[in-house]
Amino acid sequence: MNAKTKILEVNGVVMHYRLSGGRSVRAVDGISFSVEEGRTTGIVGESGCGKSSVAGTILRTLPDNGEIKSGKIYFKHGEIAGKSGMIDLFSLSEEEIQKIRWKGISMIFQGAMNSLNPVRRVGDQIIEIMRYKDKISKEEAQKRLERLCNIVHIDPKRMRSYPHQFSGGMKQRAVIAMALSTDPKLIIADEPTTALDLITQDRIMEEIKEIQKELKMSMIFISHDLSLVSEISDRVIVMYAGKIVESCDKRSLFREAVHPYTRGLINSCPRIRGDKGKLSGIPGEPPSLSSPPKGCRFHPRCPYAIAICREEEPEYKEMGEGHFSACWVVSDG
Amino acid sequence: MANLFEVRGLKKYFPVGTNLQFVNLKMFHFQMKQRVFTKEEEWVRAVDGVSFKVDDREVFGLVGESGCGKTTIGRLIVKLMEPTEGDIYLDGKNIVKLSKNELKDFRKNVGMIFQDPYDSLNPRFTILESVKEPLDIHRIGEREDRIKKVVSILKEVGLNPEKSFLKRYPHELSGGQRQRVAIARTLIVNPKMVIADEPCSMLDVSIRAETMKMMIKLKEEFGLSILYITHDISEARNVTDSMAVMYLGKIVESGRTDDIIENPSHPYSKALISVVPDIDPDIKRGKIELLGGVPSSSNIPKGCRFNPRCPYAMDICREKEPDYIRVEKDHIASCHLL
Repeated sequence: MNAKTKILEVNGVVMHYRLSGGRSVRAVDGISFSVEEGRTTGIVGESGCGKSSVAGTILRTLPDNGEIKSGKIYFKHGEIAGKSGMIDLFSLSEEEIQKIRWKGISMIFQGAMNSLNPVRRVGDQIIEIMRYKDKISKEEAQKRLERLCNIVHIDPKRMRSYPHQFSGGMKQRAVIAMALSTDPKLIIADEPTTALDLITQDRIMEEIKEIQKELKMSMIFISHDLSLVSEISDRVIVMYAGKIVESCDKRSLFREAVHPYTRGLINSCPRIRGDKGKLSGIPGEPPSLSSPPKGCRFHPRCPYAIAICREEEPEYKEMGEGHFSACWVVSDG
Repeated sequence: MANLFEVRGLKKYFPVGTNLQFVNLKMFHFQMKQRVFTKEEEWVRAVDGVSFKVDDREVFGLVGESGCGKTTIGRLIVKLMEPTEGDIYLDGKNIVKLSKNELKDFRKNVGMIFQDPYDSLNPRFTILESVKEPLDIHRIGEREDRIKKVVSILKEVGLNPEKSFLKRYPHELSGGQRQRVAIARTLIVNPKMVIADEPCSMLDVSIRAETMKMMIKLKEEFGLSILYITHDISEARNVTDSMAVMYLGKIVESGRTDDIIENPSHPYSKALISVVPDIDPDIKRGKIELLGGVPSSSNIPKGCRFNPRCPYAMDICREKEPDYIRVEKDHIASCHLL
């Protein structure tokens, strides 16, 4: 692929959660990235770094106290509300964005255990979405459901079961089928395998990869697991405390990552192959996002911090081709 | 090295549905004992004949997927439940049947670290109270010494500055700090052995590695043996000296950790290793496709319990349960292929 067309462009988005007493949590603090058509962008970070809030901001499914402060998100979509091409998602009304959800961008949620309705048959829940979004007949929806079952490897007969009769892996497959049911252009997968066993996780990941290749879908894959993200993504974005600290091609991540946080994460991952090496974590704890440290947010935990790190926020700069990083020490050489 | 701890033929079965068999019906002023549900007695064979030894100052890993019985073994060892069959020895002494006094002494010697640091600390206790409580219960040292001991152990587990934590409550701490408090509380009575049940799985990646490192350091300093229960075989590789891989209530392979990782013999261990994702995109991992999912432990397959999922299953695997075969020194596996 040479002509890289962007399907989603996120530009300097700032999103805060309002707290009582006028305080706020700066969950997403000036984030820019883009997703290319047919490619996967991975977002990796620890809990509370704002990675799931990015997903909520894109789909505008934030809780009531989530407030989008600034920035723009453009999504390539057919005509909607008289606009076409790259549509500014923040300019759409609630009704208009409703048309983008599921049809344009759909989501595979974390913890499939909780995202299915326990008192309704799994198949009916998927059919409901197709009929609501695509206005198709029951028979047609049923046919499409069977096709989906083949894609996610569930016996179509099992679609008459209730969620509690499914194993964890099957529930996750059903949720994936649901996300695929409306033929979306972009899928956001938020920790889709977190609660699963490793063997099941591996199989689901293989299936996601296959489906993505087959349907040429674009995807945002969110996870705390660096090795999982680097296996599935084309580009990897590393988030820390509401900001992107580094982003690069997955090939260069492992060997050429420069940000001390990314390096720390890589060294924290226990590995099963190759040299056992020395496991080293990152000392300290991630900061609270309601009062993040001054300067670079990583400086209190950074072994290389210098005076300027404590004072000024580093700029998010291009280090090499397609390799961006925000670090004072690295940018000075 | 002497072995400090040994489990022989441990079994734990849980009944299913038996509670409902007899119901006292009190009606029309007379009592009637009636068989209401005529369900046959079924058992979940959570732990189904497990034997292993843990050496002095060794970290021994129990690795397996959820439902394989690893947590049940941990709970049996700390006597949170009684085994259906089998023996557990600590320092050569069988601990399955203990008197009340012996039990108290036993609890001092064997500690447990739970998975969820949000649940395992009393929210109404300050950190000082939580960590000091075991000293009070076992009447160790004088009152003032106890506080000093708490301070020194908090320092030991890397809570810095240690004095600032004394008056705080668990909700003020992060997950990693709480787990450190839980570890301090377990270690303060100087146990010989600690059962750590997924101590890192709830923690963030960067904190997890620090916690693992700390546990290894503490093992050296306190001369501990640790039974390290985890679902993550790469974590086991980094923490344990020896390990056992479990499947559906049984050990399928055990030996020195490095031997198992480099040269796994059982198809299940091979599969477990092959599914771990890697950060290095250039590493190709040989995949072993397993068939289907884990069967229920109330309906364990005949023959080798792994046979329905095994890509190499032969006729004999469906008939006869395999014995343990010695692959190399200290490395055993139960598979008909060997």
